[in-house]
Amino acid sequence: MIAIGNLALYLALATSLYAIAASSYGALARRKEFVASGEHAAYATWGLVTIATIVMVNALMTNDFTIKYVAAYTSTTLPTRFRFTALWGGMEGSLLFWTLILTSFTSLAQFQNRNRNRELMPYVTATASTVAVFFVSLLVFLTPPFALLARPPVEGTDLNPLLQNYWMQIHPPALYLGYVSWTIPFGFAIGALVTGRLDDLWIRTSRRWCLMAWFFLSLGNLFGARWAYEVLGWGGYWAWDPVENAAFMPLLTGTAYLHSVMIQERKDMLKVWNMTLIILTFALTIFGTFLTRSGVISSVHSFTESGLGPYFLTFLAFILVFSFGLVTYRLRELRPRHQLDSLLSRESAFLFNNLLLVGIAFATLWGTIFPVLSEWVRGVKITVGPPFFNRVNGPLAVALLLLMGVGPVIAWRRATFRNLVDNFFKPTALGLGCGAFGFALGMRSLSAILVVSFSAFVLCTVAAEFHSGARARVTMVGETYTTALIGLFRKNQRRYGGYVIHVGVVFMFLGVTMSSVYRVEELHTVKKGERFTIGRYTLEYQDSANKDDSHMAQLIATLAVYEDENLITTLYPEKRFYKRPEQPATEVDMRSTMRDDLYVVLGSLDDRGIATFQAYVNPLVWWLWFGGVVLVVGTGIAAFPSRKAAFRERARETSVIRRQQA
Amino acid sequence: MIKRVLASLTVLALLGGTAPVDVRAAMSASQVEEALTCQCGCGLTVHSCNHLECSFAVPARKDIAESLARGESGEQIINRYKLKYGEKVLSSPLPEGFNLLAWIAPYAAIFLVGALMLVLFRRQIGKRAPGSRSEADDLPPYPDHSTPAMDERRTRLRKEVEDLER
Repeated sequence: MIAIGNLALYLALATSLYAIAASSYGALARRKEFVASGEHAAYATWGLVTIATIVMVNALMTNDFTIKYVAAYTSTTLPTRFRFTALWGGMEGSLLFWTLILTSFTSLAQFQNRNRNRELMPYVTATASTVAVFFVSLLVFLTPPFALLARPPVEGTDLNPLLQNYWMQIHPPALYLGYVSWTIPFGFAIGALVTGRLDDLWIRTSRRWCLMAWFFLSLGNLFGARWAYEVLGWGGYWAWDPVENAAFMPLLTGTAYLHSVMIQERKDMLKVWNMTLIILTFALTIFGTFLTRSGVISSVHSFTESGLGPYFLTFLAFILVFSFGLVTYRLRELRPRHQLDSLLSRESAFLFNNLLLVGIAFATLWGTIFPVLSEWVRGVKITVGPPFFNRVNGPLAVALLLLMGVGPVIAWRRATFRNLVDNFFKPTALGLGCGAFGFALGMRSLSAILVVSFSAFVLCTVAAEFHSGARARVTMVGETYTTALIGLFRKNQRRYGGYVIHVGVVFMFLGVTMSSVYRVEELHTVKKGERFTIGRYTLEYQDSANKDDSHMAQLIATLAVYEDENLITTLYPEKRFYKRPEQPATEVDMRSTMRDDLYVVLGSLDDRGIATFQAYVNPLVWWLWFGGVVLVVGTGIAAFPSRKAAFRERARETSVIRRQQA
Repeated sequence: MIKRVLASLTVLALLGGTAPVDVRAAMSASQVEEALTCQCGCGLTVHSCNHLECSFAVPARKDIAESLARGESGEQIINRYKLKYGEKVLSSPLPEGFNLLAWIAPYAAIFLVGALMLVLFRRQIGKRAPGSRSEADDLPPYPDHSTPAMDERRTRLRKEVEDLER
């Protein structure tokens, strides 16, 4: 089996190299048979990488400790569900998994476009295969996943206990799906640059890929935050760790791209900017992979130092030089056909939204690499931690929230004073009212008051958009209000799905701000039967229990939670001791409500039954996760517009209006 | 208009610029803990370190509380840690010397790009001579073949569509 895995990877390297050559030659020489042959080679690469992955998964499931990777990341006592997780638990497996996703997406994009976009497709195949060559080369020459041990151990080292969590089963795959999906739009962009088809064809064709990439990157970030919240036990969910930043940056530039392409589609402007954004987003996904695997920047998330850094940097430099070289070559053809009509317009609001998004991405990148710069320039190691990122990115994020309310409502082309008053008077009044109400309730943090005000402003503008749309349908088509609202979604899923996403993001802003500013945390050491109070909760330490099996030992405390002397729940925070590798871990328990989370960590528990608990009350943090759910729903609506449904809806409207006219 | 937007960008830059101002004169224990990075490798601040028995954060928190109670200022405590562990113990770079670049560069970049955008777009808009045609003017006119009833309905429809397009 191991020989099959190795052979599959060697052959995958050969087929992906052939795919680049055949697709490029076929496209340049206009030889269809070579283009087809290149596509077949890309399908073959996918098949071969799939075989290698199946061999690896089989080895993980059957504890084949002759393979170094399997011995390092599994054990006989590791629950089966986590053995599959071990595929992305280490460097070699994660690179193999990455390559599997990449080749699968390449095949999917080829299949989707088998009868269309034939001019661009050879370059998509060649671009994606170039990326595949890089990753397969790493697997073949530098980090072979099927490397054998001279003396296989009887028992494996086991998976890192922090990864033995259900969020870790879905967080890395979601993130990888997000990272890798950007390769396809990037391929279309390269195709457009090479062929000179610089209209919005490549944008329309790759739109769903972009949304999918954005969606999975958002989910990956959210799942990671939730994992940190549940597993790391510090009461927070985002620490501005370099690897977290690496996943956050392409999300920001990708969001900027999704907004600015609307201007290109509508006004044929910003072609250079959109090309720049898609190139930067793709480059940032490779930069993120470099950060995790190079050891250049220390991070709790990173794999061990591997020496892969220079290869990633070289590949990154190649991508940037080649892509921006093409942009420069096509600069004359990328000139806009139209110009901005006014600075007070939706186009302008989108541009400033782009400025802020890319500004936050730059600030994050700058803070992430600054320690390395400092060491190069001054020879002094420094830390750039959460306080820096919060202070620098905080004001930018708040300004972005405000623009989120302005963008969808301000008029295209040119807003008049009347238009501004009509659209913004009520939302502004509501925003100011909510800010004042918060102040009256005792809120004294400027950032919290601003976020509450701006959130109310955004929600009001979104609600007004839905209301005016529905009202128009009620008037024109004579529908009921509810049917009109549903009709809005059917007719323009992209636009109204986008608004739903904005609502989700507002909820996330509220959750993050309130839980950061108004978090309460206390450390209490108590005996059995004793009580302590945090916020509106009283906790009684009732009992403790021990559990021990071959995989881990557990200390479990029982805490009764009272509110106004009424028992509302019982919490069971745990302290775990994993046996292979020997490592302690905390298992947080919490009571989560829309108002706040009571979050309890068991710090220590001695033989006399005296326990130390770190307890937190995190206000409104539930809204962060709920915002994520709303974002998922909104993306689903925006990403999969049904042309048939929109057509039926328009036909129905037309027939009703005609009947009215008759 | 351009001046107002530039002024807003300046305010934004200044808001960011105020961030690194040294506010360590009267710091609480949690503020001092937030200003120091835990050296256990967790990557978090002393305040947030998730290891309840951490060999660095736990003694540091105790030391900070005791030092503040003794009358030592937050700044003195932070300086003491800086002398002992080096600059890497600070959770964010001090706004001085080369490190000032860390604080200034993001806002300077946003300010410069924003200003450049404004100037470029202002020039684009200004280039259009008064009375020149914009894209909106190139749209075909509404055909005129209707009854007064249809006119009224069309006017209403157009208004609703304009509302929707806003």
